[in-house]
Order: sequence, then structure tokens, then C-alpha cells
Amino acid sequence: MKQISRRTFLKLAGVSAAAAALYESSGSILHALNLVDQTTLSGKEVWVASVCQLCPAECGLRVRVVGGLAVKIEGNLQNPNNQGRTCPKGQAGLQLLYNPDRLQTPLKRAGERGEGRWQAISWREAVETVAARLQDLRLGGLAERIAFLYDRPPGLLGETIARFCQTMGTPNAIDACPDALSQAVFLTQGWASRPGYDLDRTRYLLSFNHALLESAQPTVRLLRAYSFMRRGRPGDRGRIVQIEPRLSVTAVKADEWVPIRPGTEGALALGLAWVILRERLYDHAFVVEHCHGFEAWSQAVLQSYSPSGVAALTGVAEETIKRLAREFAGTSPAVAVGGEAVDQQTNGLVSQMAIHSLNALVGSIDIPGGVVMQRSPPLMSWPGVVMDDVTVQGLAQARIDGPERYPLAHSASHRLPEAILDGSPYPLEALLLYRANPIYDAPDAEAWREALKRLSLIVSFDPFIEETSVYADYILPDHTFLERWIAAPLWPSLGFPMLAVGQPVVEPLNDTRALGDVLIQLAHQVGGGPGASFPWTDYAELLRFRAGGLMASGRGSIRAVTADEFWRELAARGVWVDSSYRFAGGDGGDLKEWETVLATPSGKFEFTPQVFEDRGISLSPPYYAPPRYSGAEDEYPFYLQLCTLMAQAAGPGAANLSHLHELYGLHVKHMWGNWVEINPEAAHALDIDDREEVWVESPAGKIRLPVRLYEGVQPDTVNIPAGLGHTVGGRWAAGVGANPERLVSARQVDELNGMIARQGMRVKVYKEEEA
Amino acid sequence: MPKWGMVIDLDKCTGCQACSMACRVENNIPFAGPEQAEIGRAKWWQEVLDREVVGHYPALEAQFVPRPCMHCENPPCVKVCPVGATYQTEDGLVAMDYDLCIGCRMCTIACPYAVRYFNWFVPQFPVPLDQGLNPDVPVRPKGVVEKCTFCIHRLRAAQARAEEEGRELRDAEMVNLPACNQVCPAAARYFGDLEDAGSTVSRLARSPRAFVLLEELGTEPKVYYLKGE
Repeated sequence: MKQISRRTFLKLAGVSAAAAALYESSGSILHALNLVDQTTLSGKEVWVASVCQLCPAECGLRVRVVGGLAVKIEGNLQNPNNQGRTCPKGQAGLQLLYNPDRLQTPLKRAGERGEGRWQAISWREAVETVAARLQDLRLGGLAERIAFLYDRPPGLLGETIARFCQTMGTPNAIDACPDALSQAVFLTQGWASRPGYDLDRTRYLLSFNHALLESAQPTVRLLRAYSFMRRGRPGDRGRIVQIEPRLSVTAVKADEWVPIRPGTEGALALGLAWVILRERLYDHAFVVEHCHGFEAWSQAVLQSYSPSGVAALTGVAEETIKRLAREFAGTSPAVAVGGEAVDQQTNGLVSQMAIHSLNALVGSIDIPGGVVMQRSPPLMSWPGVVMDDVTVQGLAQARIDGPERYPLAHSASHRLPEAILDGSPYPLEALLLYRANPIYDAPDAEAWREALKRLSLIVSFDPFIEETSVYADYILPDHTFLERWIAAPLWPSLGFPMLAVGQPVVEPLNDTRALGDVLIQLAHQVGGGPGASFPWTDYAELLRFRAGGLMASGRGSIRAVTADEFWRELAARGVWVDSSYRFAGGDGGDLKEWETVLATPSGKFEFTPQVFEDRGISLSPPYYAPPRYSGAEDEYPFYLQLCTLMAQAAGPGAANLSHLHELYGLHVKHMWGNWVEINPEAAHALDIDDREEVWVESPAGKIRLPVRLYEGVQPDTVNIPAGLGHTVGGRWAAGVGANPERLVSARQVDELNGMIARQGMRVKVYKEEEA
Repeated sequence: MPKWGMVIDLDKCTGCQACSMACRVENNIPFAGPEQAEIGRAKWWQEVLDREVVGHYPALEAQFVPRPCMHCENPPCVKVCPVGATYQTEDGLVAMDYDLCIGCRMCTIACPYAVRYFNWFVPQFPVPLDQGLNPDVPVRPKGVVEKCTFCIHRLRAAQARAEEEGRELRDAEMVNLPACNQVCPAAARYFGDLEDAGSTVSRLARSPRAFVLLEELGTEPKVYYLKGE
């Protein structure tokens, strides 16, 4: 096509040449225009595939690069997760890449721990020093004294970190962010991942505090599914019922909002089950053929969860309970989904089990429109780890965080400060941190600070200085996502396997390195077993090796003759997908698939999980326990609910994106900071006005922030958006808003899985003079 | 001659504000910062308005309404501009000649949809944020009024491409035109030629669900909304 010169273009765009000259004279702001001089609109423009990392949904992206600069992010049309679209966080992604507060080089601590004085060092020094310190521990037979704390590392990085830890000989690869829903699915279906939901065919969506249109993943997929339920199937408008203490965006857009007492979602699910059982509305065939423990469970439900009793527990009217149960059981396919807020109560796991059991009750397991089990892409298996004596001995040690204290915990990161301070089961020496910022988001920051002082080595890999990495001895800053290789399987949703691949879209801005590369370099520097266990030169080669399994499978959207060709095509398209999902149930279901989706000891959906028996958990059906709240009602009259808004990105630097601050609080028109939402009547009783600054205090701590009066909050509850209130992290992160995690007690734990119950707090609200 | 218009389905819209953010980055709109935002100077050429929550707990109604420029057929902003800086293109877009604008803000007051923003300051993109600016869109100087262009630069580029290939713009290409339209996760927005009876926007604009904002003012907006359930 004919090249359009800048001047021609401006004319086309309705801007006169004189105006263009004026802009040119006004200096630095016109940097962008200079670009057009260097290239042309049709000239050196490329679109490069990447994968968004601003939340765990990992949408496929195409990034427009002009003259070597990334100038626009759009969704990758070929990626079925987001179908060419993004959420507002993804649109703001360039602000992370070109963020003025990113670290420029590796840093070594120059002052006291936490003082914030740093000295720039070379990568060579950084890698050699850290590797030497880790190797010293290994050679001293103390490999288990190394821990790696991470929070939802994107894509395949989690597996890479786990392998790194394994080869180094430490059992302490600690995930700071476990979830209860995947455990509920494991207990009932023997499948250790969150479920997906075939929402495009779902006719009735019963959402128990599931942030469908805000913070739930995969975000864009869920927004599209919502829209499709509304208008994508003429004559078959889906019904969405949002059960949640707060009038969230999801609740606004749902067909019905059912306010509920925080933490009692599981009780409501059992109340619905009572009606479905009593009125024999359940799926007899499914229960007979594919369920285990139905009799015991249903008798227990019928005995204890009548609608009148459940109404008293939940605050949901008896008639509403009956009606919802009849609608849910009478509209097939229907799904019940439990959100993250349900996980974050002391009864999170049993509540998720109760909610998920509703799906089995109405036969919505693995049918079109029902629950699906997310298949993984057929990646090449990792080669065996090369074990040496150090590795064998280290891996035989107990985990530092003691997850075995809870019958179903994989990790218990909140116990780290205690374990470190007690030196039990052994003294921890080295802590490596990636995307985990416990001083900001874990309870009891003071204990964390004390504990960090005891360690001999703290290394952070984050590209920004954060509350926890302030205490690091070394910071080896990661690239931002637009500068590195990424491979990400699909967040549980559509069911069929997919792998999104991203590549560097621009040259690295700063002297940073991708964590994947640095782990390989550290392993090579250590040598021995670790070195031999990472036989790749860099992370791209590692990913290419693993993606080789896709080609070998002979399945999916990419056909190629050679491995080179396959990898090139994968990088160019940014996604591999095998878009067939074989349902076990429903019309034409493939019965063989039941073995896969019901992988429990009984091969059935276990209303009474045999895992409970195996692990000596002496709970009796239907397992529900009421939530425990921290704080007595008379002193702390409000339940506290922490919510995550659409504009809240995740990960290092996420709070330092200025654009996102300006669309933060849509429903209360609040920008640049968070607030506490109070029902107008409750606020009136406390003589508190809109926008007035107040203290919100729990037994664990207090924060000060403005009040927003909001009708969409229960009179006995207050809501605070979480994710802001940083003390460091960049010019737009530090000092903006207040951090509600300071209100969470480390003693609020789900005793089954060891997860912190951050939604289980009570608070009081007061103005200064009343303090 | 086409008349470019947009249709926004409020039943599909989820209030996510991706449209607003896509517009902001596509069009090199600077952030305002906390102080300026507090006094209403955050610029969102495309803004999601939320209708006040109506009612009392728990019987509440609320609605989200994405609001770009309406590109009125009978635009009050054009009538009041004393210097002809704001004008209508032949194909019906309400455009700005920033060079002519004297910053009197008559248009800003005249616009009933509050889509116009005055630049009180030289736009700031702290280094290296400036590297991410869109080279196709000029950054507007201090002292002028700016607004949604329906991403005229994308439209003109697509038209040039079609012309080069000796064909008309296709309805199927419209999904990629205004950045707000391209990004919408719920696919709730449609763009196209209202004069073309066969276009998606034209068909939807005739739907019984269709309405325009403040119809009684006679501005003849070219942005149509489709009612929720």
C-alpha cells in the first residue's frame, strides 16, 4: 500500500499542517510525533504476540510496535480466552513497561536492612554472589534452609520455580496464594484444579460471591460469557443470581441480587440442597450412577438445614431460599459457582464443597452448560531432576511453614514468620521472593519484619521495590511482561487445552533479566545437580522444549513439519489451542470420560470424600461449619468485606499505573485511593458524612480512609476495596489509599487447609474525636 | 457519503471500563493526577457514567452507561464555537481543529453530554511513559478543548487501505475501528455507517430497544443505546 506520510496523515485526521508545526515546536510532549517522521504509518509497524500478566487470567495480546516502541496493546483474536479483547488493566499495560519507577539494574543493599539504601551491581556479580550463597548452604548440608516464596507466578514459571527448588534440594517452594475451590473439587471429584464452567450454554448461574464481572478469572472470558448469556442466544436469556453481601458491579448486572451475611454462603447452599432433596428435584440418574455418599450426605442435610434454620443463619428469607432452589433445579443446565471471597473465610473449604455439591445434585457435572474440568496442554514432561546427596537429604526435610499442621494444606505461608522466629523445625537462612509481598498483603507485618531480620540472605526478583523487597539484600529485577518470554496454559474455564505464548515485544528498557533466565543462570552457576537439571541456555529454550510436546501430540491448531517451524508459528500466533472438549455426560456424552472427570477413589462424585477418612478428618456430613469472626460483635459491630475492583491489577508495580487510579471506583465516583463503604443509615447513626475520613479498626489493626455512603451495603457490613495503600512501589503507588490487609488477623485461619480468612474480620468505625 | 455512528448495548455492557482505558491510551490522553482528578479534570473522552443507585437497601437499581461523543447531526458545540475550531466533517464526525481553538470553552458548556475537556496544562507523560504514545494521534497542547474523535485516525487509515485495494470499507472491519469498540470484552459496542441500511449499526439503531440520550434536545446523536432487559 501507498505509504502515508505524517503530514498527509495529519491532514486526513483533520489537523492542519500549521497545527502540526505548532506541535513540533512545543518540545518533549511531541516525542510521539517525531516517531511518525522516522517511520510512516504503514511502514515499520509490527504486531507482536504477548500474554498479559496484570492478573492471573493471562489474556493473549497483540502489541503494536512502531519504530521499536510498543505503542498499543490489543487482544489476540486467535486466543479463545479473550477473543481479541482486553479488560482495562490490559489496556494500561504499557504503563508498566514504560514505568518511570522500574528498577534499572540489580541492586545490593548498602545500608541496614529496610533502610532503602542501595548500590547498583552488575548481573555477573548478582548471579555469582547469590549462587555462591546458595551453594554454601547446599555444601553445608543445609539446602532446606532455602525457601522460595511466590504468589501466583504467571504461566509455567511456577513449575520452573518448583523445579529450581527441587534441584537445589529444598522442599520450601511456598505458594503464598492457595485456593479452597480447587480443594473442594479435589475432595469431591479427585481433580486438583479449579473447575471451569461452560457458561455459553448455562441457563442459570447461581453465583455465591463470585466476582464474575470484576476480579474473577479469566476476566475477559467471563465478561464475554455474561454478554453471550444475555444476547448471544436469542430466546434463551440466561438468568444470573448474585448472592453477595455487597451490591457489586456483578450484583448490579445480575437478574437478582441476594444479600447474605458474610461467610454463610455454604449454609445457603445446603439450604437450597434441603429444598432440592425434600422436593425430589435432584438428578436421580446422576446421583445413582455417579455419586458416592449421597444417602449419608442428604440425610444430614435434611436433618439440619431446613430453610427456616438457614434463613436465620444467612439472613436470606425462607421464601427466597425455596424459590432459588426450585429455579436452580428446574432450569437445566444450571451451575453454582463459589467465588474467592468464599475461600477467604474460616469455613472456606467446607463452604466451597457445599456449593460445588449443588452442581452434582442437579447433574451439572461435565455436561454442556455445566461444570467442566480444564484440560492441560500436552507439554513435554520435564526431564528427571539430577539428584545428588545434598538434594536427597534436603528434600527429605520437613517444610519450614509446616503445612502438615492442617490436614489439607499444601502451603501455610502465614506461618513463616513464626517458623523463622522459632527456628523450628530448623533455622531458615535464605528467602527468595517473586511476586510475593507479605509485608504488604499478609497479616502481621510486624512479625514478618522481625522474621526477615533473622535471615542471612533475602533476594527479591521483582522489578519494583516493594514493601517486602525493601528488606532484601539483593534485588535481581525481572523484566516486565512485554520484554520476556511467557507460556501460559488457560486459566480453568473453557475446558479444552490451550497454551498462550508471548515473546519480547521490545528490547529491554533497563538492565533487567527475566526470572526464568536468572533461575537457569543460578542453576548453572551452582553446577552439579542443579546445573545438570537445567540443560537449557535460557528460558526461551526451556519453553521451546516444553512446547515440543504440543507438536508431538499431533493435535491442535498448529501443524508444522519441523520443530523450528512449529515454534516460529507458535510465537507468531501467540497461541496453540485444541478446541475440542469431550463431555462425559449430557446427550451424546462420552462415558469413558467419567473416569477422567471423577478421579476419586470411588470413581464417583464424593458427597462424602474418602480423603477425609484417609487423612483422619473426623467431620461428619454435610461438613459445614459456621464462620468464625475475629472481634466481638458489641465492640466491633460491622462485618468487614474486602473487595477487588476491575481496575485493580495484580503483581509488582500494579498499583503504580496512574491511568488505573482514575477509573478506580466507578460506582461511587472515587479516584486515586480507596474508601470504606457504609450504608447511609448506619453512617447516620454514627454521625458520619460522605467523604469524611474515619478510622476503621479491627482486633488486628486500624487504618484511616474516607467514607463513601453506599446504599448497596448491608447495614451491618462495611466494604473496603483492597490493593492500594502501599508505602513504597513507585510515585503512584506509595501513599495512595489505605491498606485494608492491616485489619486482617493472622489467627483467622481455615483449620482444614491453613488459608488465611481475610474476610472473617469484624471492625468498628469512628471519627477521630471518638477514639 | 457515510454517516458514522455507534450502537452500545446496555444489556451486554458490564461496566468494566475497558472502553475508557482503550480510548485513553489510543488517543494519548494524559492522566490528571489526584488533585486535578478531585476537581473533575480527569479526561475520559469515553467515560462510563453510572446512574446514581436508586432506591434503598436492598431494593436497588443502578446502570452503567458508556458515553463517547455523540457526534450529533445537529451539534450544539459547533454552533457556539466563535472561531470555527469545532466543525463537522463531510461524513458527520464532530471534529476539532486544535490550531484554531482559542480555549473559550463555549463548546464545553454547550455540549449536553459533557464530552468536552479543556486542557488546563501542558500534557505530561513522565519519561519514559512518553515512549508508549501512539504516533498516529497528536498530543493536544495546553489551552485547547479536546474530545472523542471516533478514532478518526483509525477510520481514515482503514479508508485509505480500502481505497488502495479499490473497495469499500466492509462492515466486518468496523469492529477494529474506534479503540473502544475494538476492546469491548462483552462485544457490546458496534460501529459503522448509519446511512447503509444493511450495516449492523443501522439495523440495531432501528431496533425497538434503541434510544438516544436527551433526544428531546434535538441534537440528533449518532450514538444509539440498546436498552437493558
